[in-house]
Amino acid sequence: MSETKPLAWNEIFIRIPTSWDVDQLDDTYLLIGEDKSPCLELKWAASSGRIKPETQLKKFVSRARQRLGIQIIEQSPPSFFTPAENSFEYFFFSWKQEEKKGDGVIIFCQNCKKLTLFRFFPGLSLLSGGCSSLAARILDTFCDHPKNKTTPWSIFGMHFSLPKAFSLKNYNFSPGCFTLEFKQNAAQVKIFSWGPASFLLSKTDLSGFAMQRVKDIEGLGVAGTWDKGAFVQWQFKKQIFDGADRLFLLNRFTRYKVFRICTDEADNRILGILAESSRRFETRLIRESFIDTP
Amino acid sequence: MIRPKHKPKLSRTDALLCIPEKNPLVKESQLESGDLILSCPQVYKPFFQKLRNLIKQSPEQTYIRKIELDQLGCDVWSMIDGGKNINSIVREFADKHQVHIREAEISVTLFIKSLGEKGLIVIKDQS
Repeated sequence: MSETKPLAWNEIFIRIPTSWDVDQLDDTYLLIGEDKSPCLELKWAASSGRIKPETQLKKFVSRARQRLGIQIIEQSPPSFFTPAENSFEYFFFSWKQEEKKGDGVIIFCQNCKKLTLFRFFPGLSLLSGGCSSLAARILDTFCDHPKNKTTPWSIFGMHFSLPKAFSLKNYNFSPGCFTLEFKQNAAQVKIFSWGPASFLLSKTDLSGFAMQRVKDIEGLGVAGTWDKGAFVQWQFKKQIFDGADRLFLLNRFTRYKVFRICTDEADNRILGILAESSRRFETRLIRESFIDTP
Repeated sequence: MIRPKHKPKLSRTDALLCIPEKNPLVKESQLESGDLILSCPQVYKPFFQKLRNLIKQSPEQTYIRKIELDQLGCDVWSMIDGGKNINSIVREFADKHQVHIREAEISVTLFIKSLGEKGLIVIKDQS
């Protein structure tokens, strides 16, 4: 793969050709295509651990036949194939749906107990393409759990990372604004991406833009620069009344918030991260979320 | 009971291949700010026409609808030439404004849909 880009969504990470992009997604599903043709489909689920992967594979085969009209035929591993990870178990198959056919593989990870289905569409051969085939090289880049303390996210031009304790709660892709919401116990993080930055900042500055888009910002922002452009950051708290955070029982209703908005001049977009918690927290999380690019 | 016929939904691929064309009755006027005003005659809906007749308004059955487009809207409007399909317009918009292709697709398709709902454009089938 000469030119690739990362795709990281809900703990799944692969590298795909730059001409490919996500056509459809939900929490545990990705359909990736090029122009108007689908190329690769991914579906994953956490395995309970009590049911053996072989049993789940049989259930998957029967469900695919009944609901989707797809015929699944299990295949032996290709001779050229070498597992990229020792903790992965592979189940190769070929599929047929009406006049279309292709290859696929189900991967079971012994570390995180996740089952991931790869379905390659016609034109991408996995079983007979050799170790240098595009399908095999994509499979080599696959990872289904974060390897360190942070989870990378890379989708639709947004690249950031968050502590792996934060799980995805909601997402919204609207014209001009993409939003992802994460939660960890009482802490919440919202990631924003607005574009095109050149148009959105043509009549206002970064602070003014932030005030328009995030309504309850208070206090003075601290401005600065980061390696991709400029940023402004606010740190404030929301309480029932002034001083409520010092009173027993009422202090639980106080919310500490940090909002950081920055420009990415190379990608012509504006990125924002809004974190809130019932306790004061490290603002280093906010600063470093956009620096670690997968 | 007569059930309304459901129009078959276009797939995403087919929708992107449709060709939008400007309504020839639309008039354009440029503002000093660079924004564009589109004026298009619209027909009153039958309910409102009956209401107008009751209160003895003028017998005209049309009114002029005006819509203001900002710079991004003007760019998409200028790309609609009756020859380019929606996919081409999305790509041109993404290249011009350096935005991600999916971001451009969401914005442009929703904008073109709203233009169609207001009667400012018609969609030609690719065939």
